[in-house]
Amino acid sequence: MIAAIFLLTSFAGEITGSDQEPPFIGAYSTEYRNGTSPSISGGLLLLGELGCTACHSTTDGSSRWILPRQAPRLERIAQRVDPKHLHQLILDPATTHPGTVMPSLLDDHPERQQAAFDLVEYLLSRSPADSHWQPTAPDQVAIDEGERLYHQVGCVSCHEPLREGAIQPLHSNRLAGRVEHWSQPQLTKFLKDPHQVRPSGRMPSLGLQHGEANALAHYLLRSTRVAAPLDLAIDWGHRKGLDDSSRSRPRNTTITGSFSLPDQQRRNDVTTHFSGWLRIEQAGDYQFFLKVDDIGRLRIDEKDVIDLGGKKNYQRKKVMESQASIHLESGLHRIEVSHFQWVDDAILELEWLGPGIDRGPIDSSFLTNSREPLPPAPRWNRQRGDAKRGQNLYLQLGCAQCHEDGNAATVDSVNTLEQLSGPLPGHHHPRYPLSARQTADLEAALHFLQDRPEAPAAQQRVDHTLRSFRCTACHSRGDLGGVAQDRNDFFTGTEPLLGDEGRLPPPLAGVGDKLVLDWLDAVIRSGRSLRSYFHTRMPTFDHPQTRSLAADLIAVDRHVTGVPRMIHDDDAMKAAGHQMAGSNMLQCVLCHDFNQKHSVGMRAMDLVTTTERLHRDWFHRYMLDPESLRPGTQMLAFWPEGRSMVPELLGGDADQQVGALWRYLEDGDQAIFPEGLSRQQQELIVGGEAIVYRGKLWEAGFRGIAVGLPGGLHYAFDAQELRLALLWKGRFLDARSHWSSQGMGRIRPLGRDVLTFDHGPDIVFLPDVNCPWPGDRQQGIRPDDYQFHGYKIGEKKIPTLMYRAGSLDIEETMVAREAAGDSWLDRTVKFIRNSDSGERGVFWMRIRDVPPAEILDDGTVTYDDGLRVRIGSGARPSALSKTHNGVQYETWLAFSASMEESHSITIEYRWGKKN
Amino acid sequence: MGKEKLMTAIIQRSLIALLISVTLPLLAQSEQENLPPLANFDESGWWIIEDLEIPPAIHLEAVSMLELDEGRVAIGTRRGEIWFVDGLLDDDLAADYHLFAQGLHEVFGLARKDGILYATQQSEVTRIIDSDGDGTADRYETVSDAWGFGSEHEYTFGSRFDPEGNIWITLCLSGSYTSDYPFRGWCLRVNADGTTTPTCSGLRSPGGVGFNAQGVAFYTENQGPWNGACGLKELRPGGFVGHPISFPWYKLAPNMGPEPAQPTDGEDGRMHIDAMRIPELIPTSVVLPYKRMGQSATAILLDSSKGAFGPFENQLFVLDYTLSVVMRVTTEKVNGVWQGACYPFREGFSTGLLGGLLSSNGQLIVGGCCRGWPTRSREPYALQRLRWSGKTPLEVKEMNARPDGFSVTFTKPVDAATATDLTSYRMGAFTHHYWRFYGSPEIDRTTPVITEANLSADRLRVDLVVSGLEEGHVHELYLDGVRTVAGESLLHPVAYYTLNQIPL
Repeated sequence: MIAAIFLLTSFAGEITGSDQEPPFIGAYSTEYRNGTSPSISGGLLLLGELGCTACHSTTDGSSRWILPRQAPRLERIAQRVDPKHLHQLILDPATTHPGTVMPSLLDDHPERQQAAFDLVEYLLSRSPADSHWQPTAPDQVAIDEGERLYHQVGCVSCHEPLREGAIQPLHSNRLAGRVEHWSQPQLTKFLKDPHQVRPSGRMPSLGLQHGEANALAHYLLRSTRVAAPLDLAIDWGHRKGLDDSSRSRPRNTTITGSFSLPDQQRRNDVTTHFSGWLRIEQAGDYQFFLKVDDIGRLRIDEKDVIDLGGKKNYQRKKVMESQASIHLESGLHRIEVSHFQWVDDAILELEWLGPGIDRGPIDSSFLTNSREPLPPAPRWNRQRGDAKRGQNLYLQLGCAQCHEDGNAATVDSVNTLEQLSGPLPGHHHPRYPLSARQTADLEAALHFLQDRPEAPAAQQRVDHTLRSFRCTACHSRGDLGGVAQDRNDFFTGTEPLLGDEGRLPPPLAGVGDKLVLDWLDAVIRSGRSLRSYFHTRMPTFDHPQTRSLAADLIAVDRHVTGVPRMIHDDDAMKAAGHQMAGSNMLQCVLCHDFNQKHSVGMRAMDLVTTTERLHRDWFHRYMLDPESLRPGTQMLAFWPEGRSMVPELLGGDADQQVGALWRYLEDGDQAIFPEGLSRQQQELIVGGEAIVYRGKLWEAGFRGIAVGLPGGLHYAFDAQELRLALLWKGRFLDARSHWSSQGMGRIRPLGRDVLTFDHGPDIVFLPDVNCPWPGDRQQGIRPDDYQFHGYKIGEKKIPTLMYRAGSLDIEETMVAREAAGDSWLDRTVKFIRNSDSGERGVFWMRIRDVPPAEILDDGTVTYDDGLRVRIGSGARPSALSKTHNGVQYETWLAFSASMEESHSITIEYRWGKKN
Repeated sequence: MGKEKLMTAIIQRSLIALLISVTLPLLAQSEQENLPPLANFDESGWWIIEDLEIPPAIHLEAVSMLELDEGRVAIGTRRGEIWFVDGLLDDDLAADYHLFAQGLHEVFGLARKDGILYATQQSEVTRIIDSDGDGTADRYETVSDAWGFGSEHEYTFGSRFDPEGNIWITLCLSGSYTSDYPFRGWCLRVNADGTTTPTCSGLRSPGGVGFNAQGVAFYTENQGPWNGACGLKELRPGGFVGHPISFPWYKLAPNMGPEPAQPTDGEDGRMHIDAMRIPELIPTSVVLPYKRMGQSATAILLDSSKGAFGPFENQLFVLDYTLSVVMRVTTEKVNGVWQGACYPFREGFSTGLLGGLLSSNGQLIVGGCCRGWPTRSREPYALQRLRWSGKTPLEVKEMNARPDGFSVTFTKPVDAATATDLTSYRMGAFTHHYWRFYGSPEIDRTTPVITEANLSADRLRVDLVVSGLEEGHVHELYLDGVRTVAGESLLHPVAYYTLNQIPL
């Protein structure tokens, strides 16, 4: 122990009087930095975060107390970072990146500069030379979006705000000066999935889309300057003249070499703005020639020189050209060319002619995008280092210990953490500019570990994990953590009516009592969140060190309480729950969304996953007294003092009523929607009851009837031609085109695996097989004595369609079924004779007009698009080959015309593999 | 050069016509920017507009309404719902909404017979039944779908039941220009038993269908080809109401007899002149002069509130989508032909009016939406009530034709001096082209001369003797100088009379 203190003091002693910042660790900085007595937990945090155990092996007992942080992986560092910066960092980490946890390794090296060059060269040699770092011109459009995201999605929970003039909160893991040397595409990649490069997950993934990560990267690299002949800005959206920007919005900005339209610009309604400075060497009259389709304009020194439709009246789809002559003094002149592409051909040609210059395009040597010439970027000289020597150093200095995922060989002669003693190691040891406080805390922790403590309890593991992963920057848990006062304003949301509950990450006190294990684990490891009204995102913390966090939280927090027995039958409970949630009773849906349908009020958390998320007894306690479990919540107490606000239901018994709500919510997304949800929504979402939508449908015609079934399988019936027209899975449909503007258009299924069926009635009577088909199956005209009769609504609002097919009355019902992980549709068709016409012949029911791929032994008919049809009730499919307008191989079912008064069959429609 | 310019102009005009036809067929015209300024009538003190509360969960594009029992109103919507609403016809602004039926295809007509509700949706007439009595529909039975439906803009509007048990439905043309499917551009009568009878041909783009106090069916037609202006047209069984493109379906309608003769068309086309030659042709009963009397006439409502809504009992009220106004119309049959006058009534509604109800207790409820076609108002949807304050302004109650001129009945006694002073009146007359082109300017303008103004003993009616009456012309009468004894002038000193026939 004395040796340990000696060792540590010698570490710290070297920096006495230095102005280098000690290593910054967020949780340490907020909790321990200003402590007055040595803290074991602070020291344990440092042991993990500084990566001490990368070199110092530990006993099993100690390792349970330490959550080691791993250094970034360096395989592709050459692609990510400017080598000049890398060199600086290796030479002097603490000055180059103030607060870095990377120790200095070259302090005592006799040839520090050369050693750094060798190390850089080695790192460069690990990536192909053509993929090395390059600066990217900043995109101003992305920068604006990135600025919004950076200050909204959660970056500023740990990092400092970067807006100009922003007040700097305490304890920021500062980015300024530490990120500008990144490559833009690599930074985008990193932000999308930080764990690839930084495997210890301290920088979590925020689940950013590519465009978001790209915007953030552009924002972080916004100070990059790249010299080029011209700047280029592209807008999308229609314009009535170049000065009209009411409908267009910026798309991106970049740099370019000449006044030529970018190749990819083959889209309509695109505006392209070129801008830069024209270098005139010889004063004189210059003539400009502009040719455009559809419109364009040349401006020099902020005055129009040639305007081809820049104002309101422009010709469409027409090439226009014009020329103008102006006198230009020598020097730099602002030049701007704008072009709007409406439709068809896109043409932009600019030429000039002047003293000593023949007519032709303006050579890029006359153009610059920067009025002040940019200093030439110093190039990295690869001759200065030697990769082989660098590799040796990399191993000798111990870089590999931290940067190679623990795959490096153990460093000899380094003591275990518990046994730090003896002389200093013979090689150059790493130097950390520790503060006196940090040194004292490390001492306390080492002391603690030398006493061979018991393994940490769940409570200690929870606290340690929450600190190490900075959960505490956003969440409070008792006295631990929470959003710092000076960062509070950065947490915002879309629903101001929700107050702090709509913007501040929820407190974690008692979270293990509230959430069930699977849900809590999914929140931690995949960032699952129902609070879509937060701008701040719940990050993903999928790391071995977080894998037991959910279980630990539950072990610490959970205290099971009884739930009263339900005294009513299941249906009564469910019905009562449904009623209570609706607009006439407790009005849950006045504030809460339900199964993606919007509440009419403040849009609080969707209720549909309630029973999937919560422990039932917690829900019970919470409903009866929300404030006791969530202090400060806006959630109302609906049973004040245990007295129900709806005494007429279930005898006014609070326990039974809460039980009824739970039972109702157990139906999840199959629950019947409560009354009073917003009907403004245009996507029709099917819950526990079927939805019938009549309107102009794709494939099913203008007299189409789309039916969304509980169970997520849907169909459309063509009430003009009397046929099944479509089957699909997943989302039902979006009524937007019918519910906006004039209501034009045919609505398509919104879901997937759409199967289509053929025209003409499904059921026909044929006196004999060779008779012509009734009606016109190509034109979709139904036979004379065929008539749609409507539908009746049954259980779960599932419709039974009714129609007449000659002397048969048909009633058919489609129901979604589910078993053993498979789901399918059962179509039950009932045939009722409506007259005894003495017809001789056979009724046929068509399955499809296309040839089946196969007819299996059990009667299942399969088709190339994956449809599998099986006829129940003992009926066998008859393959009827018949040529009609070139269509052959039809599979029909046959019924004798002399069948009894009514007859019914069920046909199964399943989705199989496509061929 | 000159020729080229002319060609360009022609091409531009046809392009504009094409654009209008593609984008704005329901409306007579699209020039939102050119809408006339609000007329300068101070209407606010007499009939009061009230905003009715709609629960925030409901997107209520009310396009059809029906008064049920005990103050309950059924409202059909563009989103295919039928709401039962209690409390719309009482004093306060709140009401209880109950969803009775849903999943229909734009409910532009509601009717009831023997306690059962019938809805006219785009695809069919449907009987809607609550068989288990739980207050929600559970049977949707097709009464008739005996017409074609396959193009955009083929809107279908339905009336209430007539005494014979028929719903009169009006079927818009295909895309409002052609007749691509059976009976597009026709009126059919659908009996509750499903019997469907072709009734009139020649419709273009109807906006609503209803009955006057005598039980005669009328519909509103919109300005466009073969329609110089919007108007109220009689639906007489066997008749042809003006647009000949729907003739092919006579072959499916043997009850209608042979196809009528083709109208004259071109510069010489005049509806009243063709009507003498084509017996089936029913001239527009009441022309609604374009812009002055709306731009897109929709529902027709009859005041049968026995005076509860004011002095206009048994008159018609016509809604307008574009200008969000309610107009008033009177009809009379002269020499066997329906004709009559229209009068401004009330403007200032907050959405495009499409459906309404004039209840038995004298409440005018209107609803609609602003989408797809321009409107002067801006609310995406609204439900409003117009209530009579109990005070009666001086108005032309009714303008009627006489063999030698017109009689004008007022809502209250007028001052004899001003009412008999010929300078209190001005009159003009005009008609429209009857041709295949879109709309028409007001043409053949003349100035009939009022030679006598004879006041009745009760001072409620003045008989105007007019020289230069023009049969087939709209006669616009301005009464700027007429006053009551107290000096009150007319709230709307104008009436437009469509003189199809001069009484014998």
